[in-house]
Parts: sequence; structure tokens; C-alpha cells
Amino acid sequence: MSTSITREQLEQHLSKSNNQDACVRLFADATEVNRRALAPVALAWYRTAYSAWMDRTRKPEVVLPTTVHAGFLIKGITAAVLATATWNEMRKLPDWNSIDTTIDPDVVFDVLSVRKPDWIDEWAEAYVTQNPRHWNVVRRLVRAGIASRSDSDAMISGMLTGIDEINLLDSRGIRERLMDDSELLDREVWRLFEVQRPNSLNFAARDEFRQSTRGTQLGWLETFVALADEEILSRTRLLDCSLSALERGFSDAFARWFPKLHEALQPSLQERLAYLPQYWGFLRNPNASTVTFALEVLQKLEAAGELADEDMIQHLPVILHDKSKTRAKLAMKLLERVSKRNPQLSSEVAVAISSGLSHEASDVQEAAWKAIDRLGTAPSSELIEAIRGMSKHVAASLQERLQTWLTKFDAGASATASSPTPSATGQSPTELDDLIQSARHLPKHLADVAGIPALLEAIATRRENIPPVDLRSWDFPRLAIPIVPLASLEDLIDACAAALESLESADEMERILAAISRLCDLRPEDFDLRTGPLKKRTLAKLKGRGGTFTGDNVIADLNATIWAWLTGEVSQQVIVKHNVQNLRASTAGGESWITFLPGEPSWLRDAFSQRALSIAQRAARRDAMLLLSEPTHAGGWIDSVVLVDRVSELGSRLSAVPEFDQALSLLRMAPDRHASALEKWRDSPAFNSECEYHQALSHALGAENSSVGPTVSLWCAAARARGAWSDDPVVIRQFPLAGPDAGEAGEVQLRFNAANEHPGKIVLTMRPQRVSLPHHKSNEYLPNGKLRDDFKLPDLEPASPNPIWLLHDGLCRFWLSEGGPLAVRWAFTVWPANPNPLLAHGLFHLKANIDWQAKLWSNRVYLQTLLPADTPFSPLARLVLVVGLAAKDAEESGIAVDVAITAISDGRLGGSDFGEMLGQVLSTGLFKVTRWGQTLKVIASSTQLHAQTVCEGLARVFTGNTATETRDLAQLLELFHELTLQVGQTLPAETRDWLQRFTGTGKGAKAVKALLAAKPVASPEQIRQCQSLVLQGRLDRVRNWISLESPQ
Amino acid sequence: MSSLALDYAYRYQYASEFTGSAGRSRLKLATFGGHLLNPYFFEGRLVRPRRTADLLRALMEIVHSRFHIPAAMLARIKALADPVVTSSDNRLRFEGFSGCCSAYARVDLLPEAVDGESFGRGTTNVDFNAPMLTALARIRDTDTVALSVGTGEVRLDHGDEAIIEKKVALPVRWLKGFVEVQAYQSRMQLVHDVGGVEALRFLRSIPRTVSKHPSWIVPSGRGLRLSQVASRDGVQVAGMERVRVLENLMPLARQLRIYGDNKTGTAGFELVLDEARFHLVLSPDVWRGFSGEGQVLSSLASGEWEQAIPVVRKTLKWDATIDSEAIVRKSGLTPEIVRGALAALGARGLVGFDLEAQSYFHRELPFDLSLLDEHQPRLKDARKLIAENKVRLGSLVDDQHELFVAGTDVEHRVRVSPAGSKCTCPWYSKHQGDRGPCKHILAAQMFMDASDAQR
Repeated sequence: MSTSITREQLEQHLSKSNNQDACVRLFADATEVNRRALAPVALAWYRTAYSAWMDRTRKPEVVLPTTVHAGFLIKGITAAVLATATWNEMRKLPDWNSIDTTIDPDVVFDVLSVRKPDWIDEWAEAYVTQNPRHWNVVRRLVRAGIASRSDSDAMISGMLTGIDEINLLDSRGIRERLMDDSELLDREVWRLFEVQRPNSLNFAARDEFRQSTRGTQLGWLETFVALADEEILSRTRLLDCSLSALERGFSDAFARWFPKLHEALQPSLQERLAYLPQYWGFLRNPNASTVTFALEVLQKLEAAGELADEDMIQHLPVILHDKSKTRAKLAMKLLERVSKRNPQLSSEVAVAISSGLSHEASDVQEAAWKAIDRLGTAPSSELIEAIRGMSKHVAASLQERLQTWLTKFDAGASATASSPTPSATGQSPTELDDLIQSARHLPKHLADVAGIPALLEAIATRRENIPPVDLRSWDFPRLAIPIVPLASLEDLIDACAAALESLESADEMERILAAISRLCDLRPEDFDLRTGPLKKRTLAKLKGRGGTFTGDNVIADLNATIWAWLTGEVSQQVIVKHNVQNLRASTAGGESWITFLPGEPSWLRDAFSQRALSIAQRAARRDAMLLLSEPTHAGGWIDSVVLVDRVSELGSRLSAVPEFDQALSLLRMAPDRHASALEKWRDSPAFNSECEYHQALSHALGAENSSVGPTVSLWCAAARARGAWSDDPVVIRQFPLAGPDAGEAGEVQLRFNAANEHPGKIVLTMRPQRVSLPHHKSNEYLPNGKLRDDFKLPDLEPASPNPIWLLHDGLCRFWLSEGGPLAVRWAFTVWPANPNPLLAHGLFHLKANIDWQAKLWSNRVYLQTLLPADTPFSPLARLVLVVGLAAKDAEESGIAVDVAITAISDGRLGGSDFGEMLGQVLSTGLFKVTRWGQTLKVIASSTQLHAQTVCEGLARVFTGNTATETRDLAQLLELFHELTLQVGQTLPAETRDWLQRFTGTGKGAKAVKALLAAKPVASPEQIRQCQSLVLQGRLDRVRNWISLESPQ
Repeated sequence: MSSLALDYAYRYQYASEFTGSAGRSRLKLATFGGHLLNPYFFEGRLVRPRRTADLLRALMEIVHSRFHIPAAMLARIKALADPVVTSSDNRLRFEGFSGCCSAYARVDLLPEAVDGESFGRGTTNVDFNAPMLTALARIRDTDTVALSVGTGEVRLDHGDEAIIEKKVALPVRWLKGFVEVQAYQSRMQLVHDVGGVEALRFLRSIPRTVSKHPSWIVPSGRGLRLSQVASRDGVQVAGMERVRVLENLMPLARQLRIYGDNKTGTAGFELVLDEARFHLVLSPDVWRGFSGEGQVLSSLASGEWEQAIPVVRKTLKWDATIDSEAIVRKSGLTPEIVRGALAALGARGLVGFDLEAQSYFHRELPFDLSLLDEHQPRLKDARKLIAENKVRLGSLVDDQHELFVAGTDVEHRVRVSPAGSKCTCPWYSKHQGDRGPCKHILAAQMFMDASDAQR
């Protein structure tokens, strides 16, 4: 007897009860017509509850209606929706899929088994797709005859979860559950072999999980074997399925279980022979586990004499290219056995094996060559052709033997042998003599910085060790790429709109800040019309980006500055009460949003925030002014002549420029055109003023007899602008204890400690020590460990931060990267001349993530900073590079490889220095040596010069500083061996000594033996090619500088 | 047809199958659609059966892949579309598109790959079912494998009893991507051409981890390497995991050619086999399907191509390479208009592009694409803006027209000048025109075209 439920009854029920079971009872006797009539009520309740719940998530101040308690009432409402709505209506509800999971499965069954809707199959598919665990409910509905049986992919994944469910109330194992629902054995169980499932639902993962949780119960593998033994499942079909699953393109992790089942079913020899076409086919399978399985089976069949020789010759060569050296060598062995069994096929076998000569590993090539040698057949024309074709791919250690063989058997080999291989050359260098001639006509001051005289001397005296270019000099131009300032309101609006969507360049960020500072007083009549969309978008973006002007996020600061310019409102920080907590919030446009609680502040980011806030406050007042520190060129550089013009234009308003900005303008000043700028400055009436900034500017431009004022930040910056790498006695006199890069040029000292010697294995020390603040006890920084206990941070005055101190405090501050890549990029523009202080900081981050705990996008920036050809390559830069080359993250190590290739090409990185740093870092035992093996190989394969440099570097690694017992050196030793032969490098005496003392075994010892036995000789052409490449790189550098000094 | 997907039913006469044993077998491909209901294109044998099988399986690996799953599409993980085959000039081209619309793959079986007789020219769907694909893995090069594309047999089955019907929802974005990819290919240039050994070493060096940033494929010695730094002599590729399918095919090939268009960030890979080619074309990122790129929207909005299309289309004769210069000579149209018309034909599924030949080829996708224009959301929205009088003319300064187009709560300012168009909306601000014009610019263009026409 059905009873009709009224709208009021349902409303009352939903407002008072969140009980799902009560809802089931309420609808137990309702007709479908009655249910459908009430659907709008249930749906409306759901939407209201959902939006209130979401609002509360976003805004803590929102108070939920008493009828809506976050989350749990939705259960009751959801049950009402299920009892009244159609599937079409339900699927349109916001977040239905995830909220759907909150309903008790029993309630779902009870509601739907009574209701029996005609859309149940479609719903069931979606329900199980959303969460495979829902399969049990759906299966109950199927067995009750309410839903249809389905073997869709989702249902099969669901079945695996349902059958394999670990349930404390149900102790049945997989076998028992399958037997209890034996209908599944007809169809669904076989579909398990056809459907790729998520990793957590693959057989191997489930079996491992089951073993770890219920060790005594049978896993899937044992269940299948048991059911086959009991003849409940067809063993033949299981064997078939276990193999055909491997042909379905499953991932390796998913596929690796099926061979185990196949073997557990113990196929007979006859059965294996029936599967032979499949085994052969598996050799081409993309999954390593499948190839290994097939090879092992084929090896057994070969041992049983069941493989046809022709088949082996046809199929096995594909494995000779296999990434796995073990598999490639095994295939070679099997092929050799063919030849032993049937000598008539030796020639064909030799041709087949010859493809192993193109394997990327030299030891596989070696094995292939030895195998061909062992076959001892008279070489057929086919074999000669094959080997000739492989000659350019063969490792240097095999080249001599191969060329000798070709000379003996191949009439056309002499031409091949005499020509240098393209891989060794990489590029065709210009004739060395012409280059030397060109080098002699370069301006001396630039040639000296580029190290050209030293290089020419090295070439003339045939010295092997070419000194790298040391760019810690103030004598070459920096102003390369001019930044076009935003000159009009229209340009500023466009630039801001683009920056709100995506901003990666610190120069662009500075361009926008400077334009707001300059143009904020422009208010044409149609200003609101033109900026309306930008205003709307700025507020939307502000709300999603955390705290404003708090040092949290440079992008939020920029957005808030744009907002201040557009609206006159400076975003504020407020405290909001949320439950019992006080939370910090930012406000703008009448809205507020919760921001993350700040960690310890990064003072450099705080400085950015303070600077942006100062611009925002002026922009809000429409008080336009030049931004003194606006870069004129990429990288943060300011043209000194432009700076003089700015100072003149600012006149008395200079006093309104914050101290940080004043200091920043000097630190960013490039060494270019100082003489012209000083001349212009001398002509300015301000030149003789008492203003401290004016005095500092004069000093920075090289004027003598400066009167040093009291503001330490200004004079630190002036000293660095006068000569970034030199001491400034005048400033030292005034501020003797102001620390590194104040009056005295800073120096990073590196100390490496072997394992167990010291709590820190790499210790960076800045000299001179800053002692102006008494509690600043130590300036040691340990990138591989925590701060030393006695390390305390100096108390700086936030109102007048000194950029130099902030940069150096980066040495002991770990959180700069939290501002994202843009914050780090901006930090590098603070003092474009010298990246060292921030590199020290980056070193910590690179080391901390060396084995990849998280994706740290900002880490890339530290390495990217080393890419430009004019960035000095100090010992610290080399250390950062060496650490980057050991990073697990392929992108980080990839950039490090790019840096190394670039720096070798442009002469900044030499083999000796590189090798010395590598050896020292290697000795600390902090990094995985094998990663260097991989990255150095890529660097060396770039050109002959790179091969030469890496080879020199490795010669330095294998000297007295590196412990001979260091683990995992084999790969580096093998690479060294190949490179010595490729570039013709003779072993230095100390390297030879080291190799003779080497105590390792296995591959390492083999490589050492080969190294000691080798007698590499560099051909004159090779030497000239290398010298040409080095000289070419330096000529390019100087020509570029000449073009910057004399722009057309 | 819903706004998101085209309900499509493949109606094959039989299921494609691979049958036979003891070295003699038959690959029988079922066809559906195109000019005929179930066309019959080819009967013969595969010259290198194992290699062909590997290529077809790789094609289907792409078709079945979804390299990016938008949050709203979790339920539709697997793509169900079949590839299409074009028969012309003794070659068979199999084309497919990944479910996420970010990767396009094509297998070109050259005349050297098949030995037999072609019975017709045209394009049709081919049934690629799981059992057949599984069976293809067992083919050996020494096997004799017959191939038929379609059947010439008169079937005795009555009614629909023997029909194999697969109902699928082809996402409109999938179809749009399929046609838009041709416009990208036509802009690509050959950048790298390396031998098989170097190519295999390079492919194996690609990191297994998924990266969010683009990389550049650059020369290194005689081979290639992956760089993280933008390079003029490199090809930009994002989502390198999409390239992995080539690793397994590389041992079959003698060369790898890589094409690039660094302006758009798209990349094309061509494996050169003696008897076949395998093409893989990648969108600028895994989350950027070709469908959303809107490269042809301006031309669709302006309508300039419409007059040239019938003339150019008349010259198409299922050529494996379309000689655009011959069309210029024959039609009297300018080369630019012919190029534009071919691009527009590509956008309508009527021609494909062959990177190796650097020319279009005639093929007509066997779907009703007449509704695609209407399902260009930006074009549709622009037309709606015009219809609702939401575009108004602002000022004219020098040669720059200012128009205002109503948005939500604000009016967007569109500036149209010979140098290009700009808008103040977030879409334009984000992509700066790289992904085609926004709806406001399209509406402004239409508004100005209509104003010009009225004058």
C-alpha cells in the first residue's frame, strides 16, 4: 500500500534529520510519480547545502544556515536526491561524483532496489567508474535482478577491487568469494586479462598488498593456479590468456605479473612449442619484463634443442639493440650457439651479431666484436658491408681493431679509416691560422679579459692545459639587450593585462613597476572605460594569490601595485577571526581573502614588497615619479649615462626615493660608459651638492676624493659599482667591518671534508666576515646540513635594508625559493654583476632536492643564471654546476648539462678546474657517482672540444684527492677510457699513479687495466680542431663585446 | 549531436580479423563510411608483414592514448575512435588521433609495402578491434600475410544480422583537432635528419619523467640530445612522453626526421622505413589539443576563402601529393589564395598534409563535418555578440579602429589595425594571439566587415 509524501513532509524531514536510513524509510512505499514530484525539492536542497558548504570553505566568516551542517547533512539530502531524481538530473549536480561517495552503500542498495529505475545501468557504470569499490553494491543489484550484468572495463576494475577487498568483517579470500559468486568465472574473470587498470589495481600490486596484510591467504596468482588444478578454470585458457595479455599494450608495471602466472602453471614442452610464435613476438615487446621473460623461455627451449637455427638468426638480432646490456649479451650467446651447432651458418650469425656493434654501451660492442672474432669465419661481403656501416657508431676503444680488420678485408676501408669521424669533430672549425691572425687584431683590453693572449701562447707552445676565461672583471661591456620602457598608458594597460595571466621575466616585472611609477598621474577621461576589464581581472587574480606586500609572493605584490594604480586603494592586511583562530587576510575592492600564515620572512622578498608598496602608495596618490632603479637593459643592468640623466631629472625629489631604491640603482649600474656618464655628471649642477646619494654616484662613476657619508647601503653599492670585483680603500676606511662586498670585495671560500670528518662536508665561508653586528657569530654555511647552532641572523632595520647584506644573508636563509622562480630571477637582478651570494643559496636548494623529493621550479633558475656567456664562472659556480649534474630530476640535470656545454664552448669552463671541483665534491660521498657518468657522457658527445674538456676533467678527478676506494667509479672510469682514446689524451703522471693504486674490482678494475694499457695519441688534426674551437669561441665573445662598445 | 560530442555509429560488415596459421595468414580490415557505405580498396599481400603490423599497433597506441585528462573528463578515459584509411596512388595511409587531441599519428604504406591491386580511391574508417591488434603482435616477417581493405565479396547476410556496430561519441574537439593539425603541419620545416642508430640512442635518452616545461631537441655531435634551453637550431617539444611510442619502432627505421615550428611550439616526427613512413605530430603541450588552437578562425570569420574553395576542390583527384603550383596555373588564382583555400579545405577534413613531400594530399574524412564551423565556440560566441548588438564602434586614430565589445560586467576594448588586433580580455592577454583570435576580436572583425559591406 503506497503512501504519498508531501513536499512539506520532505522539507521537514530534511531540515531535521540527516539520517540516510530515515530517508530510506520515508520513501519506502512512495510511488515513482510521487518521487518525481518531490525531485525539485531534493535537488534544491542539495544545491543550497552545496553552495553554503563551498562558501564556507572559501570564506570563514560565512555562517552556515542552521539546517546545513557542512558535509554530513549532505548525506541525508543525497539519499533524498537518489530516491527522487533521475540519473540525468543527478549527473548535473555540482560535484555529484565526489559527494556521491558519502552515501552508505547499503542505503544506495535499499533506495534503488525499491525504486528500480530504468536508468540504473547507466548510473551503475558511472558509479563504479567513479570509485571501483562501489562494485559490490552494483553486483548486489545485478544478483537481485535489478541491474544488468556488464563486463565493461570499469566493472572489471571494480570486480577486482570487490573480490579482493580487505574487510575485517569478511574473512573470505579471493577463491572463496569467486566460488560464492561462480557466475563471474564464466565471463568476468577472463576479462581481467584484457583490461588495463590503474597501477593500484594490477594483479602484482594486489598480490603484494595481500601478502603483506593477510600472509596466509591465497593471492590472485595462487588462486588461479588452484582453480586450474581443481579444473574449475581451464588451465589451457589461463595459459593462453597469460600470454595474450602481454600483447595488449599494457604498461610494464601491469604486464609483469602475467609471465609469473604463465610459469606458475608449468607449461609442458609441447605447450611451450605451441606458444613459440608468441615467445618470438615478445622479443619486440616494449616492456622490458616481457622481453626478459621471453628470452628466458627461449633460452630453455634452445637448451632443449627445440629452436630452429633460422628462427634464432631471424629474431634474436632485435635484442642486440636492447637497452639492457645483459639481454643483449645473452642474445649474442644464443646466436653463437647456433654457429657452434651449425658451422655452415657462421657467416649469417656473424652478420646478425654485427648489429650489436651499434649498441650504445661499449662493452656490448666489445662482446659483439669478440663473438665475431670467435666465429673465425672468412668474412663475407655482407659482413664486411655490415661492419663498414657500423664503423662510425663504434666506441673509440674498438676503433683501432675495427679499422685494422677493415683494412685487412675491405678494399675501400683505407679511405674510411683515414677520415676523422664526424662525431669526433662535431662541427667544422675555421682554419686555425686564420683565427690566430684575427685574434691578433682585437682590442687589447677585451682580448685580455677573454684570455686570448694566454690562449695564443698555449697554442704556440703546444701546452695542453688552456686556461679558462675569468670574467670576474669590470673591463668588458654588460649592456647587451636594451629594455624598451613602457611609454604610454595603452602600453602599460596591455603589459599589466599580460602579466596578470603569465609573468616569468623579472625585467618585465620591473618595466611594469617603473611605468606605474612614472605614469600613475595620467587619467584621461576614458580611463575607467579603458581599464575596466583590467580592474576586474586584477581583483580576481589578487584573490587567488595570497598576501599582498608581505614578502610572501612577488606576483601578489605586483598585482596589488596594479590595483593601487587603477583604484587608488592600497591593499591592506587584516586579521579575521575564524572559529577560535585568528587568521591573516588581505583586502581589496571590499573583499577579503585568507592568506597563508607567513613563515619566517625572506628579507630580500620583504625588500621587494616594501619597494612595491612604496610605488603602490604613490600610485594611489597619483604622485608620478621616475623609478631610480628601473633597469635599462636585460638582466637588471642600468646604463650609467641614463642614471645620471634620471638623477638630474629628479632634482630635489631624490630625497623621496627610498634608501633601498637608491642603493639598488647603484648596484645595478653597469661598468659601460662610466667616463661619459661622469663627464655628464660633472656638468650637472648637482655634482657639487652635499647630497649623500650624489656623492655616492660620483664615487661609483670613478670620481676621486669622494666624501663618504654615513649610509652604509649607499656606499657598499657605490664601491661595488666602481669595481664589482675589487676592493675600495675609501669605503673600507669608513666601514671596515661591514662584511663581504661592502668596501672589500667578497670572497667565497670552499672547504670540502671527506665523510665522517666534519658535520658539514661542503662548507662555504664568506670573507671578510661581517662583525658590525656583535651577535652575528659565524658566517659559515653548510649546504648539506642544518645551520650551525651558533648561527644567528643579524637584526636589520626593515626600513632601510642594505641590498648587499640582504644578498649575503641569502647564504643562511633557505626560503627564498618559496616565492617561486620569478622571485629568484628578480633576486639575481639586485646585483647583476655578481651572482655568487645567490648561487650559494641555490646550492643549498639543489643539494636538498638532489634525489628529488619535490618539484622545485625555482631550482632551475640558479642553474639558468649560469647560461649567459658573460656570467662569471667562479669556483662557486663550478660547484653549483657539479651538484646540478648529479641531480636526479632530469630537468635540473638537463639544464646543468646545457650550462656545461655552453660554458665549455665559450671558454668559461676548462677541464682542469672542472675536474678539480668534480673530484672534491665526489670525495665528500654526498652524491651518486653514476649520475655524473650519465651527464658527463652527454656533455662529451657534443663536440671534440667537449670530449677533450671532460677527458681533462676526469684525468684530474682520478688523482690523489679522490679516494681510490670510492664506490661506483666504474662508469666514470669507462667513460674516461673511451675519451682518452677518442681525443688522444695521454695520462698525466699523477693520474697514472692513482690508477695504479686503484683497489676496486669488476668493471672498474677492467677499465683501469685498459686505461693503463692504452697508448692514446692525439693526431695533429685533432689538436688543431680543438684549438680552433676554443679560439673561435673566444673570438666570438670579443666580437660581441666590440659590437656592444660601438653600437651601429 | 550534443555540443560536446558527435554520436557516431561505425557499421562494419564484419569485424576486422587476423586469421590463419603456419605462416599463411590474412589481415582482413573492415571498412565503413566515406563515399560508399563499405568501400573496397585493396587486395594483396604485405611485403614486410611484421614491420607493417608493428606500425599499425603503434598507430593504435597513439589512438588509444590520452596523454592529458582534464578534470571534468575522468569518466571518459579511453578513446574509442577507429583510424581512417585513405587509398590513393598505390599507397595506403592510416591516420589516427589521440583521445586527448594532442597527438596525431599516420602510417603511410608506400607501394613497396604492399603487393596487390587497388580497387578504389577514397577514405574510410577501418575497424581496429582488440583481438585483431593482439593477433598482429604474432606476425613474423617470414609469414605470408594477405591484406584486404574492405571486401569485394557479395555477402549473403541479410539485414543487419551480420553488421558489426560500434556506437561511439566522437568529441567535437577530437574532430576539430583532426582537421586543425593539417594547418600546423603545413607550417613546419625540417630541422633534424639523423640516422637510425643516433635516433635510437636519442629516443632512449629521453627522461621517463613527465615534465611541465618544454624541451628542445638539439644537435649533439652526429646525433641529438634534449636541451632545456631555447635554441634556434632546436625543435621545441613539450610532453616528451608522447614521443615514447617511437622508441620501439626506431629499430625498424633507417632515419628519423624532425620537423618544427617554434612559433607555435608544434613538432613533427617522421620515421623513414624502406617501405613506409610513420608520422607523429605533437601539439604545443599535452593539455593543448590541436582543437583549441583556433588557427583558422580568422579565415573562417572573414570568409575570403569561400570563393576559392569550389575551384580548388574541383582539382582534387585523390592525389597522393597535391601540386599547388599546378592548381595556380590551372585556376588563375594567386598562390596565396590557393594556399589559403587548401588550408581551409584541411580545416574541413578534405585534405591532409604530408611533411615529407611538404604538400597536401587529398583525403576526405568520413564524418559529417558540416557542423564543425558552428561548433567553433569562439566563432559561435562572436556571432552571438553581433546578433545581440553587443559590439559598438569607438574611435579611429591613425589606422587603428577602436571597438567595444560587451563582456560580463565590463566592455572589452578591441583595437584593430593592419599590424594586428588586440583585446583587453583575459584570453587575449594570456595567449597574445598565439592560439588564434578571441571571440571579441572575431566579433569586431565581423562587425567591421559588415560595416564595410554596407558602405
